[in-house]
Amino acid sequence: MSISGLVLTLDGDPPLAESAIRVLRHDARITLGERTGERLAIVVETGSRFEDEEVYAALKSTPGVRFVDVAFVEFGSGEEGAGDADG
Amino acid sequence: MLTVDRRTFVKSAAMAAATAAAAGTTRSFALPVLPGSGLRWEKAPCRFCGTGCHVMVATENGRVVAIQGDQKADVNKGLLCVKGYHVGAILYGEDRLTRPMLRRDGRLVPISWEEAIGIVADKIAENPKGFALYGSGQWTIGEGFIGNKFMKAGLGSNHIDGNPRLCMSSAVTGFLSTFGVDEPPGCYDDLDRCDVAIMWGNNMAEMHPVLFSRLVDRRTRGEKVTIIDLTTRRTRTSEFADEVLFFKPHGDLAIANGIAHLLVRNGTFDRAFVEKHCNFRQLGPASEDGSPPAMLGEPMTFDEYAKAVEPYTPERVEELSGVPAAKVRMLGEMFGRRDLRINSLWCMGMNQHTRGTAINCLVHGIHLLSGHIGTPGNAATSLTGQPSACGTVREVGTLCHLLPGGRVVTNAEHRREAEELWNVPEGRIGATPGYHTVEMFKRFNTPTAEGGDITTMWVQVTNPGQTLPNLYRNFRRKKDLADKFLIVSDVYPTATTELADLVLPSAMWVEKNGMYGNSERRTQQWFKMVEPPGEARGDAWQMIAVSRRLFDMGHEGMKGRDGKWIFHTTDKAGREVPIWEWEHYYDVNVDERMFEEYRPFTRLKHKDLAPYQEYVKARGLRWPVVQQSDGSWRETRWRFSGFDDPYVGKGRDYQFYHSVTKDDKALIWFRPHEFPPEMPDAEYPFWLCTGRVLEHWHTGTMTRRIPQLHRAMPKAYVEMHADDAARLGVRNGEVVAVKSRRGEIDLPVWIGGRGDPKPGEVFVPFFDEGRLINLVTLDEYDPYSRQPDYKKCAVAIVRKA
Ligand code: SF4
Repeated sequence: MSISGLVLTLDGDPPLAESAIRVLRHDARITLGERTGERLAIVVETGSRFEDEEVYAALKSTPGVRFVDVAFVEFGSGEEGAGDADG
Repeated sequence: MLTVDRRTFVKSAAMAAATAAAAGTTRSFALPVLPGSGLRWEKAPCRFCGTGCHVMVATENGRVVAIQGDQKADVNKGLLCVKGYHVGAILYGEDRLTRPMLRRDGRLVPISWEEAIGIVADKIAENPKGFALYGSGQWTIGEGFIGNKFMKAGLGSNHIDGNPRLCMSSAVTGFLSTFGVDEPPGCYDDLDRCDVAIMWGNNMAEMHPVLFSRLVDRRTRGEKVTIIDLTTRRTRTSEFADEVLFFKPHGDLAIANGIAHLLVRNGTFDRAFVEKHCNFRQLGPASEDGSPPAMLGEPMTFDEYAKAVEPYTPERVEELSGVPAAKVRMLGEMFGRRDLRINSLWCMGMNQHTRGTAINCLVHGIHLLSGHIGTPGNAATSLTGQPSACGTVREVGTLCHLLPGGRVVTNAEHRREAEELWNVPEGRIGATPGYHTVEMFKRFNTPTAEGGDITTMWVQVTNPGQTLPNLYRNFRRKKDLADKFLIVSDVYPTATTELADLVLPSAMWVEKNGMYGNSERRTQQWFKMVEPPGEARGDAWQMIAVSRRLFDMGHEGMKGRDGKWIFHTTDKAGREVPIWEWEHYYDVNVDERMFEEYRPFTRLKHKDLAPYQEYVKARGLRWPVVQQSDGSWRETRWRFSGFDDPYVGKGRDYQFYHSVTKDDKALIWFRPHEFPPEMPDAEYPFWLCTGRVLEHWHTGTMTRRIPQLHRAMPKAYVEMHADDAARLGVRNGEVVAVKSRRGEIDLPVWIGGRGDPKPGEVFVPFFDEGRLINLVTLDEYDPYSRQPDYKKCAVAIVRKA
């Protein structure tokens, strides 16, 4: 289980920003929060940190999303410890 | 697994954090603590880049369990980049080093700390002058201070240097040559106020993403910020730029001179500012023995300066740099306007440069010439790649020619002051600079009988086995030299531990107390929150234990004027605390003791620091930090500016009070464009540029152990322009050999990838220890900063059979 609080900076072009929001609404792992100007608060809840990262990567390439910044991340008690670089 | 209650709780905490961060600083926000849990939140700076974002770290049952951007931090206002997101996970890689290990019969075998400390002390005692310490911009301030004192005041040796030599020493020589004192006059607030941001070879969107989003976010609030990307390849930064101006490698000097030419020719320079606050300089002739002219040069008049920049017409600049003459004019016109606030920003592009000092001076010069300096939004800002390159290496002075607080070993008065403050006998500190990084490693990698007079090296918190240029020459030779002994203190196995004779497991980040200093003169503090794994111990303790062992062995250098050990520490009752014994190391806060010992050093150059306890309360403070009449401590955002800097004389608008010319004036330099030492030719027809990527921090030793980051960017590659690939018949993903006169490696080709080089140029990131691009790079360096140029050398791209 992984939970993170993210801040998305949406595109200045309103239709593009709206289309990004529509995409986000369809993803059950994402809860939309308040929007302040171009900035939108969201929470991502996934089954693992791996999946969390996939969502993060998908958000970064969603049309209408300019930046993804992180405000909070919970990674629990280490059941998914970091790995070993494999060269 | 999270329980439902806990999950609901954490979700609402995550939403509250994100909402507060999205809203900026206008909302108050309480950190979440689940009733009944042992969760504890404490502040720390991020462990990675020199931006110096603050995080809140949650610990529970002795582990870091959550990270949150710190709402109270001015630098990042609650936000983090993808690396900051994972900063907690770097502690928990499966292969953390947990025991000291000695190489026996070619294998590293575990030994006790007792034995390890004894081996290091014996090696030093055998040949103190042949011992060198190589540190890092990731050393905490306390660690750097201990290392510097141990070497310079203890062993009487200046053979201590650090990896910032490889990343920002040209910025140092640029500031020294221009203002007579190191580090930027402005701060990050300039990003919030500028009208134009110019990236000088600087991919800020990937290297300093939180700062870049701070800048670009202004557009989303309806503010106009023009971004000009002066670059040799298209990067993520280019996507946000209003103008992307490609220049030929080394062409940046021509561009800066072209701007100066236009300011002078059009009469749009700030005459009043220049007459009141600036002098002009150029280099003198080279000396007869072939050594370069003195760094501080010779005076020149304004007329001589005007004549020197005269040839840099827009058309000539176009020829030299590739930037169209019309765009050079556009830049010249921008600098000529008083109503625009201009912030120049740079990082490795200008520093890793055989003319690094020169281009740093020229960029300061056009800001001075046009008066675009010292008011909010008008600044020339160098950014650092490591969290304490400034706080530790530049300020504490852990380079071979420096002493703490901006002093230099070649100045007798500076040595005397340092000996006094360190309470060691007069004459203890050597007057000759030690070996700088490349020279140090060259000597370590040269047989002793052939002049390789460095025989034992201790490397802490850095990975020269991956980062040194021309690795075959400067690192790998050691493998065959039986009389050389390499000690490495680190947290994970690296390309450097691979050749180590002794490996010491270190504590990292919140496993120890620490202080860092970021790119905007901000000093930050944190406390130890969790225990290091296994037998890992802090680098500061390791040096202290070795120093004590030498003292017990009767080494005279480890004694102060009073005959006591140089790190003699007492408790409140005046009893000695045996901090050399690990179990007693945390009986006192050694970090605080070292910081208070260091503080008096900082006043000479007006880099005043507040007492340690002020940093405990703050999210960092920018020096000079000066006490007010009400007893509070005030930081300084704009140095040398009368409206903010307490050291500027009353009634003065500006005062460059450490000026080289001792008249409170800054220097505007003329430095000509020159071609680089190695350029493409028929045999090696491509320019090679190396650098970093967003996901990985430098050599990837931490970030490559975080599965998400590793998966996002698993391997190095060679970026190439599609036309070159077509000409060579190379497909995307195909493995090619990248060859230079020094070495070669195989890499997959990436066409139209994240970055896009111009035809004739290729780019390779250096994070991948399995594909070491520094086997290929050139070890030529700037004659003043001694910083190598990792951005330009000639290579061939060869298809594999
Ligand atoms: S920008 Fe730098 S300091 Fe900030 S979170 Fe990212 S890596 Fe850490």
